[in-house]
Amino acid sequence: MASRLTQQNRAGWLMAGPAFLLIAAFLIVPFLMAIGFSFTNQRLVSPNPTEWVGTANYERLFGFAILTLDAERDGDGAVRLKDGAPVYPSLRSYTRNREGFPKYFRKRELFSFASGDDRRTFVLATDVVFLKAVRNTLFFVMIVAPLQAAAALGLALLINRKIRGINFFRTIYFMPVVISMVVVSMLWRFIYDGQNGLLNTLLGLLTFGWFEPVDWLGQTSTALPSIMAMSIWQGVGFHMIIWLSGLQTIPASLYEAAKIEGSSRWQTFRYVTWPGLRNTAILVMIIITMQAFTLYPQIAVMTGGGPLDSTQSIVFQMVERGYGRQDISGGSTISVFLFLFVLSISLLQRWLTREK
Amino acid sequence: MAGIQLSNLRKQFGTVEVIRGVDIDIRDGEFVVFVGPSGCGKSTLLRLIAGLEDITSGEIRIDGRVVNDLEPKERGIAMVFQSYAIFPHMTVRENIAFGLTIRRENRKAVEQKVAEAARMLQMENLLDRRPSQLSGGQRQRVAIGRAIVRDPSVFLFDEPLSNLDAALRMSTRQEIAALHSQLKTTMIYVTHDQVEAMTLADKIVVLRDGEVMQAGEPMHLYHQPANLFVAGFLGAPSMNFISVTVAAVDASTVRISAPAIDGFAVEKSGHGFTAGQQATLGIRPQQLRLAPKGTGPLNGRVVLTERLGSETIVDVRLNSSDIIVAALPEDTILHPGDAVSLGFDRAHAHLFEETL
Repeated sequence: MASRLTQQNRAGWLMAGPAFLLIAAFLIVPFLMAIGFSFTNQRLVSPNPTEWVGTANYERLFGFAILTLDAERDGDGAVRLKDGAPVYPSLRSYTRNREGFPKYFRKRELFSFASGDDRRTFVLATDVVFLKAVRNTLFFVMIVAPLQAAAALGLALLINRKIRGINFFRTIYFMPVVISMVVVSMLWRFIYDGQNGLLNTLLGLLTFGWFEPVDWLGQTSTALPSIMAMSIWQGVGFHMIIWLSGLQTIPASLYEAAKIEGSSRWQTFRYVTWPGLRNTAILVMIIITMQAFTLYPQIAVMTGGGPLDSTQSIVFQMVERGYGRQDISGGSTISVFLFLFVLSISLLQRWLTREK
Repeated sequence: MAGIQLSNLRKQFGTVEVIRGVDIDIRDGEFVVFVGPSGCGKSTLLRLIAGLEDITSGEIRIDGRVVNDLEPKERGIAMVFQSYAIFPHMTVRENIAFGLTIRRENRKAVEQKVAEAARMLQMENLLDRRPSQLSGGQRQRVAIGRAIVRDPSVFLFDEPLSNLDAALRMSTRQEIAALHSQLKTTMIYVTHDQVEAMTLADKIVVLRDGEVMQAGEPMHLYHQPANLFVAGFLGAPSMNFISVTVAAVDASTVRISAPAIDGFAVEKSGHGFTAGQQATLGIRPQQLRLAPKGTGPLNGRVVLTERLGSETIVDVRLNSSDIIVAALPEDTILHPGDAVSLGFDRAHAHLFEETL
């Protein structure tokens, strides 16, 4: 009996072996290596030996300082103005003065706000680009996750009917999902083109030429929203299918019972459909959030993080540092941060949606 | 409280006609059971009355009002489903109150009605449970409770006992009967189980292939089935049928003969038989009794005996090789191969013009 069990075990391991080796080689080992690299100064190619640097990489990523400055005053104590706004001492006099202000050395302004009359507080960060990437990614997730989930649910409700040709619509909505994001991004770059882009032409036609063409990807205010719109469109079909599968697990008799009780469309959704989709909703939200956090190909193909870092994303910075600047340790540090960040958000989501 | 009239009701699904011109008159307060084999259209008929399906042609009147085009909620009906169709995420209380809640009825009145229904169904202690914590019988009672609080003029039951085990089926059946005598509301009950039909109904409607085979009081149908189908459907074990030839007809009796039996005369009972015609003789198993060897009109050998305790079911292969079933007293001891002679009361024999 025991020998048969071990023999079967051996066969099982042999069969699982190739898959296990591949997973180990391309997932587990790189994951552990990234954690290790993030505490070193490892470079992609370097003649110098790798050194252990402790948490220096993390300190550089998150290093920040707060500096409050009073406006400059002239001889008789009045605030000096330039174009109606108070003039503050040059930040460089603090950030480039290693001896005088080591705390501020080599930091750059992230943002600033007025903190009293003629006084301004500057938040300085060592790695401004990274923090912008974090901010953009969070913004992206906060907009894309709910909108994409809601749009997908709307589509799923639309196609969850028995009408002629419904498979045609299902196919249409699902099509963007099977096209590579890189290809989609290329196409949408043409759509968003500032000169002859499809979007500008269309808007111009619809408004009889009143609409002024916009360089959608070329200005800071529209670049990230444009990428969001495209991303929602591309991924919505996938989540639609998940919602659809959830919808189809709700027994028809529940809808009939609700109908007999005189439930309106909205009440039926509120009391029958939505509670029945609870587990699907949790799944969809977690998947969308995780996908949205790994925002990369759109950025790489469409904007490269620009203009003025307005579309930097965490993963884009990760790749940019690791391979663009050959700073493997820097990229690894970001990837470890992203892992912990997404993990904690997923755990938080699980906790918030737990069975009570 | 309301009577229901169905006139020339038809329903087609695509090209398939599943209800073919049904006329039924249901009096106020009557307990009507639609019974028939699966696929006979009984559930469809109920769903047409409920308004869950649209009728193709004909007319449905509830309380004198044509309801063909009314929504289910406007028909004054309540329905109990085979699958219970209670909302899994709501407590028993919320389930029962559902129809009242979505109509935004006064909270106090709702509580009172729910308490009243719970008392009637003896489930006051279950009100705060969720459906997953209930047994099948309790779930079905919740569904009945939800129907009661609507105070409908007609209750519709769609095979409400099919998902329950045998013991529970019997007690729930009695509860439904008690409910009817208490509420005195019109009830329509669909089942494929002739025992439920016989025990519950004021009036049974036997359906086959979308047509009414016979409608009337249970014992009337049992004693005077209009055709072979009704005769075979009601009663357990099923009525025995033997092909016979009409030998002679006089004013009140018909003389028949067949290879299996010695010729004898039976009551004519309103049929217009002519001599030489093929007909079918029907004898209920309970009407058969053992006769002294060789004297009964039916002679053969025992094939199988089943001792049920209250009676013994004996399958007998007649000399003509027909098999007939006899329900004999419980202490009858017969063995396969025994030669038996069976007699019966001529007055309880049925003669049908239809042939097998």
